Amino acid sequence: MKVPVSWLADFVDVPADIDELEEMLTSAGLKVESIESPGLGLEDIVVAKILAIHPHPRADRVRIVEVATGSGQRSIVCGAWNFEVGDNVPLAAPGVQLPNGLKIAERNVRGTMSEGMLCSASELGLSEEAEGLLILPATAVVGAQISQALGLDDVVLDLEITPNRPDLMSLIGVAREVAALRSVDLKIPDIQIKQGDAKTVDLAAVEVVDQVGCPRYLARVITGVTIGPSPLWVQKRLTAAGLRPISNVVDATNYALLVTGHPLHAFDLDRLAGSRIVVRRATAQEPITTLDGVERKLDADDLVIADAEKPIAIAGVMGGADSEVSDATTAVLLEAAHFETTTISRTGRRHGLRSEASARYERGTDPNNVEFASMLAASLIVEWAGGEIASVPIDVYPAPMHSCTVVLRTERARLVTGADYSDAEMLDALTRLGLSPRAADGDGEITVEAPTRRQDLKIEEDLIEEVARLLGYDRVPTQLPSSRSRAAALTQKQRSIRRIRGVLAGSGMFEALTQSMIGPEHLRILGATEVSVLELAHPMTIEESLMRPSLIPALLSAVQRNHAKRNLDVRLFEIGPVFIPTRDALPQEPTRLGLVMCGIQPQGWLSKERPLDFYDLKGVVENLVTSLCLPDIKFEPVTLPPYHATRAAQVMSGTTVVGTFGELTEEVRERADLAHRIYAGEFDVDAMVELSERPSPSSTVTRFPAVLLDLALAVKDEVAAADLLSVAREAGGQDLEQVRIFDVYRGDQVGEGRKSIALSLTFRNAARTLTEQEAISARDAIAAALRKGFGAEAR
Amino acid sequence: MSVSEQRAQLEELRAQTIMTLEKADTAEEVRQLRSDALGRKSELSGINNKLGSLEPEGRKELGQVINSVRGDIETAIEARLISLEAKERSVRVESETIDVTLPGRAPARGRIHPITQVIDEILDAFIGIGFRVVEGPVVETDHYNFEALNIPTDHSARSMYDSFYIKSDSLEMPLIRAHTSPMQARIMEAQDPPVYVVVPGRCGRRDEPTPNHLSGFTQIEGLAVDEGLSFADMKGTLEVFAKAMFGPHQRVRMHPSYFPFTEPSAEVYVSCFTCEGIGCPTCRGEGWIEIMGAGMVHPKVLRGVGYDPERYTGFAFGMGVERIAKLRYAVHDVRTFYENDLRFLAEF
Repeated sequence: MKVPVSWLADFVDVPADIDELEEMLTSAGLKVESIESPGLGLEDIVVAKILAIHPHPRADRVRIVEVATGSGQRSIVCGAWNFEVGDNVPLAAPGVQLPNGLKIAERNVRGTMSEGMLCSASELGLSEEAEGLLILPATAVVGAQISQALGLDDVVLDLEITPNRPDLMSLIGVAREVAALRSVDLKIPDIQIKQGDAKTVDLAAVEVVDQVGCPRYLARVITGVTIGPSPLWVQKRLTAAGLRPISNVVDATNYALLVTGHPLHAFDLDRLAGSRIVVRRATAQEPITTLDGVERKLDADDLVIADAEKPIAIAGVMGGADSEVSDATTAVLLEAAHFETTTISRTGRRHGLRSEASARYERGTDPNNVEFASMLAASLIVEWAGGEIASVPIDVYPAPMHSCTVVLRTERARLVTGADYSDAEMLDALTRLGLSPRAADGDGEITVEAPTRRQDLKIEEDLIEEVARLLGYDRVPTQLPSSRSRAAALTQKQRSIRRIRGVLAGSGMFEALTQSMIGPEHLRILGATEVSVLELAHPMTIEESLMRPSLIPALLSAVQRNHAKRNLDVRLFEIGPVFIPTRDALPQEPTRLGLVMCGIQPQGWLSKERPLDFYDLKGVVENLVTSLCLPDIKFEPVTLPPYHATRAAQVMSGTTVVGTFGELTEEVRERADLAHRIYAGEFDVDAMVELSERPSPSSTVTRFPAVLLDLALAVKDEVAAADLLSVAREAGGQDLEQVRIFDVYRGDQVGEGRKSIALSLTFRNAARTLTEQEAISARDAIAAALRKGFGAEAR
Repeated sequence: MSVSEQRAQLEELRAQTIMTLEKADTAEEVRQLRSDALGRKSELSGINNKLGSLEPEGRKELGQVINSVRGDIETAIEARLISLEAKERSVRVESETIDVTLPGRAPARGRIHPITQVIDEILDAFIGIGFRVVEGPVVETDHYNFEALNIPTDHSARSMYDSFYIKSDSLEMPLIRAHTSPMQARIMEAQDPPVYVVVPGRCGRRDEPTPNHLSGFTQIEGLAVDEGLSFADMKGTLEVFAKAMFGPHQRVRMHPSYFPFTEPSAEVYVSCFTCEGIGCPTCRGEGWIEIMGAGMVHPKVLRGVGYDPERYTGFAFGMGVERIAKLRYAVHDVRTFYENDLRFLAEF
């Protein structure tokens, strides 16, 4: 809501200091979005009148212009050609600085002194571009500031009006707040209209078929109008308030709308078939061409204003082109109606239409404001366009709306706010708001008759807010909830997730955050087009039209973006919900951990450059599962799209699969257009949290020394390391503390199809020092078991 | 050889050894000299071995001389050795110089996302004053997202929450929650008062992404319902939070606002944490930064979950995490947080 301060001052005394006004409105809940003063920076630019124009003796492209400045004359060399003697133009005298920073000085142009500069609109920062000088109105006062002549001397407040306060979408509404806040009077104009001899009912008829959608319809007829422009000061005010001046009649309705907050509409009476207004629902597919020139097909739920034959306006939203006031109009039917909010908002949404009128009807207008708005508009029409107002308007208002009685218990107000407002202060605040409060002595209750303009005041809490708002939230003290001891903590899941993040970040992974929505392209790249996903009904873009069923697609996009920028060492993880459709109303939202690695580890001074590989990712996964103390962990090969058929593993804790990871297929790499192999994985966080155990140190740390032995074996290539280790552990006996693989070798020395695996064995006895001989025989037992199990030859 | 001759020989030996010692310039030479001069095959040992064949008188005299010579030599060698070893060690240390400014062999370090860091900090601040952390579904029913919060269908306030609906076979389409407030009703339905919770989570609204807004964003909701809670408790709680989060000198200020599910409602401002209230680009010259919406829980919301609003009162608040992170880290465009550029992530 744009409020020109000078216009507001018609209705209430405003503080001279705009900052004070802003502070006052903000503290009362009318947030000031911005303060525009379009004339700012133009204070030194004055109106000059062209007295004479001479050619320049030594230059063709410029002329010498004599101007009157109000206090004298100046001679200025000017390169523009769009003016004549007698025109008023903006003058920047030497010493003046333009809004763009240019400082004007006297200067010599080919032998002629130029005593200042005549300006264009763009040089003054008033428009993006301009041809020639800005020609000011003929009525401008020579020597005065141009901002006066242009009506730019006003300050305009842009207020953010909350949806509960449609009454503030008007100058009088805002003025009423200012009056309450400053404890000054509200100045509501007293409108006198002179009614003619003709009776409204003889000139037009109104039938309200749908009284639910239209509780009140008031029509006036004004005959003998002459359409033309409205007075300049009116145009300036409308422009400052953000509306486009159109014609005297339309401007009168808009002017009254801004003053009263009540929408009005003027129809060309002669273009209404049967001179008749019918307020009814449309029939399905009924056509109408609205003022914006668009032909629309109506819905049976849309409320329309029709004449005897067809819809002539979408009620409360937009007028029709057929009944629009034009230059030829001589008689108008002025509509002032109250429409029900939901009807208007549904229609507005259905047709994607929003207007000054619908913005107010949607939030709720005051049916008892209709008459005042109509009188104001009618009086302005007659004032600006002439004509005569027919007597006795038609007013269909079968069920008048009444004020609402709300009781405020002052003790309750103090309890809810925690502030020490006195009963008298509260009574005063409600009085200043014009709510006519009544207080019986001593019972601590204030009864308010909330007028119909304040339909937001329905219950006691609404009044508590009014009181606190007016007396100021700053009056409320600060304290902490006192009462009882409360257990505050993270849940086990939240703690585990924090631990996972810490471990992964400590393992070189960067946490990414991606949006919950992805697009079909994401799934296509992964070859996951068959996956069942939730779809948005009205996505903003196709890239964000599906609820992600997995974290990997968006992580893959992050890899692509990073690689495109030559960030080639990409290791990312994300923890968050994915969305799995169910038969129920809501999907499942398991928490997942997604991992992705792709690219190269750059060369360091101690290490060679190398591509990231499976074992980089596996190392991270091992850190993860060990730090969560997941019991009985196994990595099993798995074949599962979109993973490489022979390079993926599922991670088991006992019999539960907690996650899968591995290299993605060549096809994915091609579709993603990535030059490097991609490693990714996804883990079930809920399952990991469930299985996660408290650390339980399995053996007491003994004081006896260990015996360290190595064992190298050659086995067939396809023997899995995990199997080898598991047999070794079993055969090693009680004293085998640890087995570690420290080398894997393939080559001539072991022969085709075979590999050598070197194990480092740690033997230790908990109760005594183990002898070398005991350790060696345990190693021999391991070697024998491996020979038996895998045909392993000791090397 | 007479005792006196032997004595002279010993004196000679002492002088000779100490002279040789002075010429030795490595610790190794000194150690060799020690073995030559004092070892079993040394001249000194030879004389000593023959002591037994002397008269008791001479034996005693010569024994004293031998001990004195041995002692002198030992002391001199020891001193020389210490000085040479120190010198050699210092040369060695010099020769082992490395460039300590070369990078270390650290395991690669990742980072925790700045938004997560801000969420954790906010949650920790509230845990510190007795709030429990709970979470709820991202995809919600119309009931919890709107109806239970006093926003019936066609309510004008719905325009504040232009939502992403999900295609569905059921009559009522679920939607991506437009705020984390739906958890208010879910929590109160699940438990009796007192309720002190904070709820972090993802939300979505059909707003065109700009440097200040995302269509998918993170909110943290707070709810406290108990006997006798007032607006003053809300102010105090949020002030403690602001000080914990933004600094001990922070001030908090509230202006009236409107949310359908709170009454009275407020917008909460903290003094600008960049300029401490003087006015700067962060606060757009205002000195104050809006960080959240808040208010006393609307009695309809309480009644809707079966709480008696005459007995229990409460307050609720909600803040946008990306906005706070944007202000805190002076990030120009909130969309940067979701681009996951490693160079950006590595800054945190």
